[in-house]
Amino acid sequence: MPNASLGRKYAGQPRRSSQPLRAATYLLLAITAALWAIPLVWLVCAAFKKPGDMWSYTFMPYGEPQDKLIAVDGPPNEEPWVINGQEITVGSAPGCSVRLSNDAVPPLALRLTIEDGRWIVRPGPGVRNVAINNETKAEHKLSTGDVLHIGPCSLRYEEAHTPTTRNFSDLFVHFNFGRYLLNSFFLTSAGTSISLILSSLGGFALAKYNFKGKHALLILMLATMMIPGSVLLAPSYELICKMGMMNSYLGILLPGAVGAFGMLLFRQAMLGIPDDLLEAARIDGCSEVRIYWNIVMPVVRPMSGAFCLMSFMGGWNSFLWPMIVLQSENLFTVPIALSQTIGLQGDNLYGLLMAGTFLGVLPPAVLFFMLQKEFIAGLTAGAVKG
Amino acid sequence: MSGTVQGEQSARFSLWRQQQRLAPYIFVSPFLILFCTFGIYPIVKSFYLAFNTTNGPRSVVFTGLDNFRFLLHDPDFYTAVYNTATFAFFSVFLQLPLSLALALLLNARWLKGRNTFRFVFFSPYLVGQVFVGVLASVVFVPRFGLVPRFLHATLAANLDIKLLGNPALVMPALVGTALWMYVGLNCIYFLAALQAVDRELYEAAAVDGANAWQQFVHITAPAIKPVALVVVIMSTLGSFQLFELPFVMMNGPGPNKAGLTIVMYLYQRGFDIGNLGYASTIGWTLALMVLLISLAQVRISGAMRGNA
Amino acid sequence: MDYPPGKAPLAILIMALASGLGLLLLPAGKSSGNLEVWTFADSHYRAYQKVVPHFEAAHPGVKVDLQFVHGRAVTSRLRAAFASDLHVPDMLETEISSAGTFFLGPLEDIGFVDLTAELHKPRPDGPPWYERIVKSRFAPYTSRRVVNGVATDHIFGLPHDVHPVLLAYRRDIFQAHGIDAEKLTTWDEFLRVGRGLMKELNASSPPGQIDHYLIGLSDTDSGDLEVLLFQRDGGYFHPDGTISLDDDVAVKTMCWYVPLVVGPERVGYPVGWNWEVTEKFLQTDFLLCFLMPDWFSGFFQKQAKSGAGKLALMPLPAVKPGGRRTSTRGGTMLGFTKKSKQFELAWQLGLELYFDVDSRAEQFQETNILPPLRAAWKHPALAQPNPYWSNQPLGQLYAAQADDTPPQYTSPYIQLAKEKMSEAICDCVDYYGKKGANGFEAFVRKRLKQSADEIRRQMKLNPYH
Repeated sequence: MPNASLGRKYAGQPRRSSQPLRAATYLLLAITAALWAIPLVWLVCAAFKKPGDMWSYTFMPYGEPQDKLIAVDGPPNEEPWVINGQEITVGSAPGCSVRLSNDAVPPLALRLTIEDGRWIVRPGPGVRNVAINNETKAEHKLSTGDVLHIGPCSLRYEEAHTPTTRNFSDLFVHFNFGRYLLNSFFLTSAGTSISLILSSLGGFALAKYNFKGKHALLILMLATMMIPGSVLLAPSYELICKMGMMNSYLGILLPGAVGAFGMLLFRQAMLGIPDDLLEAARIDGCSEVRIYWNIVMPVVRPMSGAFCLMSFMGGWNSFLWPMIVLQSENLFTVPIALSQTIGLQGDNLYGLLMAGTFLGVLPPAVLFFMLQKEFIAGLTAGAVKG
Repeated sequence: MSGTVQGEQSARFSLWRQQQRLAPYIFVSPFLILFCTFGIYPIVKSFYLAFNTTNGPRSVVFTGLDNFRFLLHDPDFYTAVYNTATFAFFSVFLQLPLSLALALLLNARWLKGRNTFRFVFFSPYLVGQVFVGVLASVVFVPRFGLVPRFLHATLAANLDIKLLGNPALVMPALVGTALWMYVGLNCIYFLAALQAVDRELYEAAAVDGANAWQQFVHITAPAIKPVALVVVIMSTLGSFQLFELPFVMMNGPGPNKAGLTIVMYLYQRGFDIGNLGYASTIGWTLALMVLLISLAQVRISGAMRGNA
Repeated sequence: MDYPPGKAPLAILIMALASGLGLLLLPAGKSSGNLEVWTFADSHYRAYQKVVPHFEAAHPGVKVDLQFVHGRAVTSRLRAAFASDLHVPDMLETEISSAGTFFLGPLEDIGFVDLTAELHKPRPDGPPWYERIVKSRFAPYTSRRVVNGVATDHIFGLPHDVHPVLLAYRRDIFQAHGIDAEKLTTWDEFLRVGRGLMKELNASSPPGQIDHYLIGLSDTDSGDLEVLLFQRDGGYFHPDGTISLDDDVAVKTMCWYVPLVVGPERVGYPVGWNWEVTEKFLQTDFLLCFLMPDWFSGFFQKQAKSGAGKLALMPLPAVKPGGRRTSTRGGTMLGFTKKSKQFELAWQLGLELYFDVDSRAEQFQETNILPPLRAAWKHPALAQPNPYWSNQPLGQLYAAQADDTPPQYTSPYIQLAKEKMSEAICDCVDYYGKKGANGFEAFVRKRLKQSADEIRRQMKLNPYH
């Protein structure tokens, strides 16, 4: 009689996991996943935050959707003035009660206009300068915390606590971010394309041909793979200087095109191609190049996909060598620009930094989505087979 | 007439034959040329440079073993080695159990949403060291940043805790960040290995009366041993070449050189100061260390496999 | 069309072609001038942009290409350029802490033009430039060479600034407690009174919690210690290039400094560069005083709005009565490259950027930076009351101390020395925090000697020494 208790067919059979165990597992996984995801979620939110809101809200700002002027040292229950519309005039009256007016009533002390989503304060007619933060100026772009002085009164400006795309537009307008992105895209994709062709060609030759020096080459490449890249930094730098490729794209593309790892990967993948297939093609009169291009490459598509992704990610995030080679600011790639240029601007620009990081992370993420399966297959193929 | 047609055909045939013979050389040559120029030549030159000192612009002076002698007596080098080794040790031995545990959890047959979980754990790796470094430098800001607030809420730590400004806390911060980045990757390796194990083996073992622990020791563990070895070796190699994460997080070696790694030390001496010869010396020393450690790891695993 | 390698490689190839095309079409900002100038500071860049049109008008046919290059890039680009035959600008600015690193090797190899002769040349309208500028400001840009026992100084850069350091204090709080800070003329007095003030303010806080610190001083960074060391005529290097990091004066200064930032008698808290935090410090009265070089006062005005009208400046308390009441921090030099073929023209531009009184006065109004040219100190802009700083005539206050600023002697190892000093501070702070004054001086002496010896060893590795 089968052991009816708990639905087991025989003793020792792993029993169908109980509900509490499952719940506990899900809970554990959920907590860990939350911990893992939170910094990235924060990153995305921070990219859309105004400087004043960066630390006040953990994730997205959700407070007052209005810009306000608040009387400094005013009576405690005094309502802040909500500033709306495209242009506001602020006048002062005796008794330090500041009025907002939309009709032209002299005397006018300050005029506020919206430009590019930011309030700019300028003197009203009859007034020479505006007084902001104890300074007198001809005009001023308001940011949270600025204090306007009108006669004896002071008004503190507080920007609406809402998400903004300002960081992104600042990146492209004030910093050369479009250029940095273009540089990154070009260097990474050109590098990957070149690498792909060279590595697959070489891998093909190593896999399917017997030629003089084949074994020597193989051993040489395996040997060089054991040497960490830092050994090459100093002499490569000297070489690039001598060849005049310093501070140019070539200085990144050429040294980056060679990686023994890729060639060996393709060799591994191509070893499995049946030789009869190639012979048949030869009998049909195909040239070797056509065999490579039209027969072999389609067969190793999964490997190509994985290789492309790995190469792209490696190239996109590459930092040390580009930092050494690229000196002109208009050649910078996104990682270098973020840490060396934008990152050093000062602490009120965290939003900018996070926006740049967000944009910098997007392309490899998108590519990964497209190539998930190949990537994981490629990753694990080598590891699991040992 | 027919002679010329045949002559043409044989000419074409010999051309075809020629290109077939030459093909491998042509295929390999672009790679080979670039490889010799940017791979072999620098390696050889680096070996030469290690015995020279460059100082000031365009001057290379042969100084024999001076560089090596200096290296052996330089406290900064030992700081770098200590930092790097500490990082490698904690990185590997904290990541291993954690990623294995996650993989085991994710391996449950009945689990739904495995791919989603896998992606969530893996996403920090996608971000890349530089961007993670930038994010970390902001997330660790004392008093306001995410991590100090979290630590204050959970461990009652001081809100003003200077994770990147306090020399004692820099290494935990680095190890923690690296953990966040790489656990997902290692988890994927382990998961693939676990899922390659035939379920029937477990069934058979259960029939024989083995309990869960015995099943783990006799079926699961041997299956993941090769993967574990690969993970350990790769993690160690990667950790020893750590540069971008601390460099970007602290814009340099950090307070009291707490974040100085060997590659950073190389970069500073070679490119900030300009002594390319000494940089090569450091590079080769690192290569030697890495080689020795890899050999040791392979030996140990071989011994373990022999005993198992 | 079926791309044999696959979809993804095709996408990437298209990306490569598209971005390559984009880069070709996008204007690369090719320099279109014949006189190239690099600067790394945003404020300098903006100020110079105003001067350039004057210069171009006075020199027809000359187009000035003013470029903004980031700090780290300047040094690495220059080093790479000097090492290979890369393009260098005609003139460029470089910071005080990296200028010395270019003085390595034989004189002929230094990429900058030796300006000593030009500076000492008598001029038709008065004394040579060398005499018109605060002399101590040439030290960080000078390489001293000893040939056959005779020492000669070679100046490689024009100083941009003096950067005297004053003490900024919360006048409102001091006054509220009946203290006239101007009367505190020595460090001993200042610390005594300051400690009393700190105790009063902290009386209302829960025991053990300190909500008010007297002065902003770092416990991990050498920046503040430097200021106090220079005030005492100490420094990193002697004029002849030997290291002075372990001299008596350095040991004494460290022994005096560390108890100020750690331990039971602590009065200092690090200021840092996070302006939001600094704002909070001012709003909550967390820090009462700051070491304030002229450029820092400009930053405060722009970024730390909460301090407006509450802070005032006074000369640094002296070490001994009648002693030096200032120090210096930071600096920029203008160097001219040997590779440039237009030294005369570049020199003219340099003089106009740096030593034209009106343009320097304008720069002062933007940045509060005091020009090193004595003639400029009489300009009315420097006498204007500054509302942020309690309506004090900021320019004149700094100018009064300018001639007293101590010289900073440099060396190719200056950056290394600064790093070593920061490390030494960390270790000394650590020691004092754990063991207090017990054996502290001996430890400091040993630790500084260790750092100095490391640099000496580094110097010995240099075959040119």
